[in-house]
Amino acid sequence: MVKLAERTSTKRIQFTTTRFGQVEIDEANVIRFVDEIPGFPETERFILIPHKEDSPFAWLQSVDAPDVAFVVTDPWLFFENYKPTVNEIDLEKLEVAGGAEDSSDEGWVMLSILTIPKDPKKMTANLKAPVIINTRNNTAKQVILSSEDYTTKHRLFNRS
Amino acid sequence: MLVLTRKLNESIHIGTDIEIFVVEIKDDHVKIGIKAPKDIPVHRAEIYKSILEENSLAASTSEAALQNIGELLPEKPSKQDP
Repeated sequence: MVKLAERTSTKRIQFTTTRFGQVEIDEANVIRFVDEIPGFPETERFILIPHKEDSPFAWLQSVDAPDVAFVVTDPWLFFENYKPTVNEIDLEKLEVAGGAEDSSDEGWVMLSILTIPKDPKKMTANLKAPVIINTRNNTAKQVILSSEDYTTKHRLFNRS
Repeated sequence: MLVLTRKLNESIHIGTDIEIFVVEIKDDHVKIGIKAPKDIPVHRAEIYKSILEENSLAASTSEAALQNIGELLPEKPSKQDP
């Protein structure tokens, strides 16, 4: 579900990851962050690894730092009224046009980073700082929304 | 760190295109206005910090953590408002 179109070039790259061992992919599938992810200045290149077939989750795995990987999801699968307003500068930086209403055919996708504690029922999504990927050129940025409606922790499953 | 004293409605220039105003002073709250080019990100310090912290927490998810998640998911993920 959270999957980017497969790209091919002539160059394949290999790198080591803590969770998935040795990974080899076509370099054209590497996602490059135009600004550092807060807290992770050491890595700007990532790849998206689907969790399982039909899973709403995927791993955003660093190419440069073996142990850095985030679980991500399409926020609208869980929060259908999510209305992120991304500031113009971030959109310009990513060469993405338009508002953040429907991403499917607009050449970009938005993903939320998840935090999964020991009890996975209590997992949360960071709706305050989603990741936007321009799917035309595979550049990305974790943007910070100015809206006070969203925080870094929204429960995905029932709060009871 | 440079420390300047300002009164209500006074301001400080940073470089040529950033200006910081003291808009309101009330009890222990100071309302600050910021004029800056739109490509300069301005955030409350604690928001940036909370994102930093959340990212660090999120990045420490083990592969095993996701293994059990399948059981939590209904056929289609449930939807709820934030």
